[in-house]
Amino acid sequence: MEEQADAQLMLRYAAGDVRAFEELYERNRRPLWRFIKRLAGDAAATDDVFQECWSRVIGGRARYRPTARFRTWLYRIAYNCCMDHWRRSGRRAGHETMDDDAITAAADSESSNPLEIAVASEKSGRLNAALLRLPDEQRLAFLLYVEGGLTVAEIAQETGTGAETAKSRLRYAVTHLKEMLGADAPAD
Amino acid sequence: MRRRTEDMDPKNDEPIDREPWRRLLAADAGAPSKDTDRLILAEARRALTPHTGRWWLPASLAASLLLAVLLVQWQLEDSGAPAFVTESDVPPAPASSAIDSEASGAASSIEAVPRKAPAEIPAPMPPGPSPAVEVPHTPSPPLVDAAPAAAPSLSSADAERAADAATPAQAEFTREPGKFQVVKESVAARRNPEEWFAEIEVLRAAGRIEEAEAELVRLEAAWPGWLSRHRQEKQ
Repeated sequence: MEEQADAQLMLRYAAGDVRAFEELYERNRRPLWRFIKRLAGDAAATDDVFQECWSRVIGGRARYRPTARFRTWLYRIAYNCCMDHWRRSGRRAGHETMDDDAITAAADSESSNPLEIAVASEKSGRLNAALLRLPDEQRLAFLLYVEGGLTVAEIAQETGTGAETAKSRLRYAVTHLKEMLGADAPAD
Repeated sequence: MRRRTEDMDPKNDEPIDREPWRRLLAADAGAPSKDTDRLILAEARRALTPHTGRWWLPASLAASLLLAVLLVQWQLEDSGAPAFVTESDVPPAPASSAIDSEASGAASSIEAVPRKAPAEIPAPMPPGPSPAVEVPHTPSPPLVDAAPAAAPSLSSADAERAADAATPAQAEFTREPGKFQVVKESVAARRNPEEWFAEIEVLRAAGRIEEAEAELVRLEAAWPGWLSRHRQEKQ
């Protein structure tokens, strides 16, 4: 349902409705920014890559066809932007320590309980740190699956591997994250 | 056991429940800055703006250039001479001694060649007035070729007297004819070859052979190859 809404908004924007883009942007800005931040691992570059990604969305509006899910298309662009950024900077994803979440900054979380916010934020911070300790391929597969909403087949296509390899990377990523997070890891 | 088997099935496209992980990731309060939001939304709006107004700038520049070229061309055609004569167009004046010798030479050539009255021989006319002319410029400056019949047997004393009686430009010409010769050559170099040749023919018909030959040499220097082409066309 959400996917259809995103696709419709993108089509409306391509037809000249700027309001549709504003809504589309509002729906996707935070998850996409977090995805890029975690994938790039470089806080300074995140804004640049994020902006470049949306520039490509804007520039490619006429080519967009709702044959694939909008989110798949969007995260594919984001992934390519990250790759380009790494190529330009001459390195793969960095391993900088991400900022821990500020409790106040989590005020727009669904929970209104300060203690829950703090706990969730702390868990998220630990997850971020654990993600950065994963090998690049596993982190990419995990983020494309969880944050990007891509299927295993789509991840395999995007990363140029077979479905089995993509699934293995995903499973290894989850196993390692659970080991690192311990009791804070989500229950199956 | 059944669950593990499902997880390893390559056809199972969702081996892991992503929702709990997504909720945990979403607890991260990170978000793009307001400036970034503004830039992206502005770009999205700009992309939809039709680019109708962009053609007029190069078009107006091209029109202005064309107008300027046409104006210059029209001015050239109208005056029959270059619109601007600058220092670079005038060859450097010879040294004073050279001027003196040229002056005496000019005087002797004037003495040697019998001349007709100016009314009989159409003298080559200097170009019309031009705003950027930097050379001395007075109404009908007397050129050597167009010198009146009174010019022959002009002694130095006569020249002094004539200089006193004439306009300042004429007086200057009388004292330094070589200086004007340089200017005249520069102007002559831009004359229409057909008209120039017609004048030479008139000179020749009038018996001023040496002058005609000298003019012919100048014409050839100013319009290289024109003379031979003209003769071939006549043949």
